[in-house]
Amino acid sequence: MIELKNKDELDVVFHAYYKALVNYASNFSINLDEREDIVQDIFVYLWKQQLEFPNEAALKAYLYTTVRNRCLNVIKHNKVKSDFQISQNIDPVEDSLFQKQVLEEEITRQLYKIINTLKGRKREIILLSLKGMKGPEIATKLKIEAQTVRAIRTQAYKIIKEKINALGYFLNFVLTYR
Amino acid sequence: MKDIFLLSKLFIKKRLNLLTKEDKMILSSLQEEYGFYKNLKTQTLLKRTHHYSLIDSNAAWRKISKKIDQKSKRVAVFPRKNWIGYAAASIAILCIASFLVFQNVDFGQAPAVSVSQPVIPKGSSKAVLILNNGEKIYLNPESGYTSSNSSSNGKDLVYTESSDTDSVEFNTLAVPRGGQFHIKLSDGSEVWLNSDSKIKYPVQFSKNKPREVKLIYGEAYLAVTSSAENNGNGFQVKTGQQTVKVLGTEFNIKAYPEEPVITTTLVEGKVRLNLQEDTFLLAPSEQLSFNKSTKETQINKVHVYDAISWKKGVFSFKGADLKHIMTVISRWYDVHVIFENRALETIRFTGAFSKEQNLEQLLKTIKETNFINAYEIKERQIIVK
Repeated sequence: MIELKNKDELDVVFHAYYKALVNYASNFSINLDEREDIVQDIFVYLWKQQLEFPNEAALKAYLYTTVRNRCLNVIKHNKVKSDFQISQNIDPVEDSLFQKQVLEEEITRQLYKIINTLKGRKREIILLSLKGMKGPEIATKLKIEAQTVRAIRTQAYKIIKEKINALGYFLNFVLTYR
Repeated sequence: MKDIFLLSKLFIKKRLNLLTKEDKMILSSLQEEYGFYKNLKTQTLLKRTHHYSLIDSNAAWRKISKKIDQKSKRVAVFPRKNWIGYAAASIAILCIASFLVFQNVDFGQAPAVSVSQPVIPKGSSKAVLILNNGEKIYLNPESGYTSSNSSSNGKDLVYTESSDTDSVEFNTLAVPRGGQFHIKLSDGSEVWLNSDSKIKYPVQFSKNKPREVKLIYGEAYLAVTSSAENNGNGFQVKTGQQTVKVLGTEFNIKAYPEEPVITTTLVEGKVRLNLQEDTFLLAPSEQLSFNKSTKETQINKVHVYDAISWKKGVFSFKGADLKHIMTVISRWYDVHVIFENRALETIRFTGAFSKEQNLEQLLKTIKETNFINAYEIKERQIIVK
């Protein structure tokens, strides 16, 4: 059960998802300022309502769904402003589009986290392997020994492995320290 | 949705050659189910991460943090006046007098009700007050608000009359989905706002001009003080192309952008309605409907109660189709409704339910009519089957 009752917990959730949610909202062609407002409002709302979630996935689903709904509302109202297709209902269904966009965002979010935990050579090498390059190619590109590439990559993987587990269930942290 | 989160993790593991045997099995079955997975391009996704650098989450957190701290300091200091309390006792009775017999429902099928948390709370009093200078104030029963000419206990917002009538300050009140609010304007006129509604009004009405407010969207019930008490100044409500002029009366305007029709229902008194070039006079119990796309207008005699019951804590319908009923419900509970079988949208119901009950109870009542087979609550979506 996740309860966001103290500010530190909200802080953790916020920093884990804020950028991703704001970026996800760009699927609705809303400008950055407005997107940030939308997502910030949601976090304030989350705090005010003191909602509880059975697990992290439920919280995450709630966040993406709420962002989507609010964006649809904004689009609807903007449409009205421009007096365009007032009676046209925006179909909230399009489930698979929603899923696809959330999937892209979740992957992006995790890539960003990974890239930003690594520094220097580790980061370079992982970026290149994410781009699909093999060890020897990376070695040539970075002008280092293939063996060195392997060694650094192994270290980086170790960090990433830990990170991935923490990423998927980062809220374990919130749950266990209580 | 859980699958999607799992997929995202597997995608990354795969790129880094970290997949376990079990992972591989899960991935291949999920891949089949979610066809769009195979179109994902690592390169494109890596590029997307650049957008993240443009977003300043620390600055955003500071903003939120400030708002949160402010909120917990504000305490409601006003006596509780629960205007939805009137009808709280009225329990949901969705009695069915179906006007349309619906054929395609398979009554033999075992009804399936699946519910996944979190429980969706009913709507409550809340609104965003936008001041003349653009400052936003969040109102709800936990956070009251006081200024030189207005005060709120988080359920009502009351403006006091001041001698300074030259000011032309406007406030805007936006009620979100799942919300409702009540305002008493500086002239004593009262406005009840339904979920997902927005109204703009002057903080002080001018002494020598007609009083004017603007319903930007949504639904409002207005009880207007007479012009005799206000220097003979009439009162008008603008909604899109429509202007309602009144001398002191009670009426309801419903103008949701997603609904094709604007309806104005007169409860008491007399109103004059200007629409495009035409003028209409409404008598009590008359309702004018204006179709935004065809521009057609129509005046009907209606049961006033159905049009204004929302203000009394009840949603009441007479021969309304399920799509409309679910739209009203979705605003109050802030959910999205999806009809898996679109034919169900047109079944008509007559009945009423209390706004005080929780969403599940209400859906059960509807399901028990056997006109729908099942419903599913998934996050904030209701799927009607």
